[in-house]
Amino acid sequence: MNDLEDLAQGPMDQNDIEILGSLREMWDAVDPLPEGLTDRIQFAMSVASSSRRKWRGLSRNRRH
Amino acid sequence: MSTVERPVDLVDLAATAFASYRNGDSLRMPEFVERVTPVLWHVARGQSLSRTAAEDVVQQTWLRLIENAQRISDPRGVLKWLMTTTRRESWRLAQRASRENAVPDIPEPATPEAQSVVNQVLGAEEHAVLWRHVRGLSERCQYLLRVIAFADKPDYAAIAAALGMPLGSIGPTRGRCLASLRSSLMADPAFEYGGAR
Repeated sequence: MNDLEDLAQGPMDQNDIEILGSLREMWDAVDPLPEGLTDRIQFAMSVASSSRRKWRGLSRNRRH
Repeated sequence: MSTVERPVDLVDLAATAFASYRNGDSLRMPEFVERVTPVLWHVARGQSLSRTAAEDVVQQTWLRLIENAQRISDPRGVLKWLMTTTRRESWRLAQRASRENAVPDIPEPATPEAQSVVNQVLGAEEHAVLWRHVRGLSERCQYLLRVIAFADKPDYAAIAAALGMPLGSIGPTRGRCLASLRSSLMADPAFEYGGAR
């Protein structure tokens, strides 16, 4: 086995976690989430969710 | 220092929030969306979608989760379901999109002026060094590490599998992608922060 294969098969350590943390910081800086995206998603999900619950309630009422 | 929040165990969070949601309790959904959306964002952007297209894909993926909530049998598979749905839709759109809409490359620091632009974009000299080494990896490794960076150790294997990477790509061992990056960084005297040597 060469050195890279040895390194690849070693357990992850704190240095690896730090490298991944640095990657995360870098991508956060270079390509951040659009502002307000999670708020828009949550709003759309709650609208969709309450529509589906109403629809399921209506379907149940029609069956009974 | 960065103010980036520490990641959490996303498979557990997704499973708990989703199971509660199906039982009529949506209290954990906001945290679920806040924590998982960055992962989905980078799944989409890593496939060269424009920011606008990636935003649409991520939002539609969450809405499809609501539509399919009763059909997903195992809540522990929800994170994988979200990632796979995002990846497939991103791939489909990326096939149609022109390369002009791709993620813009960060300019190579060929001149002092260009180096200054890189530092401005990345916020710190060490990020520019890191970026150069990331660019030296295969596209597949760049994609894996970009997404993995937004999760935590217990989720690495599940995320690699959801990206279609073979078992052993990362976690609990480093795998070749992280080993290549680490080896490349270790050989560069310009990379010094965090003691990661």
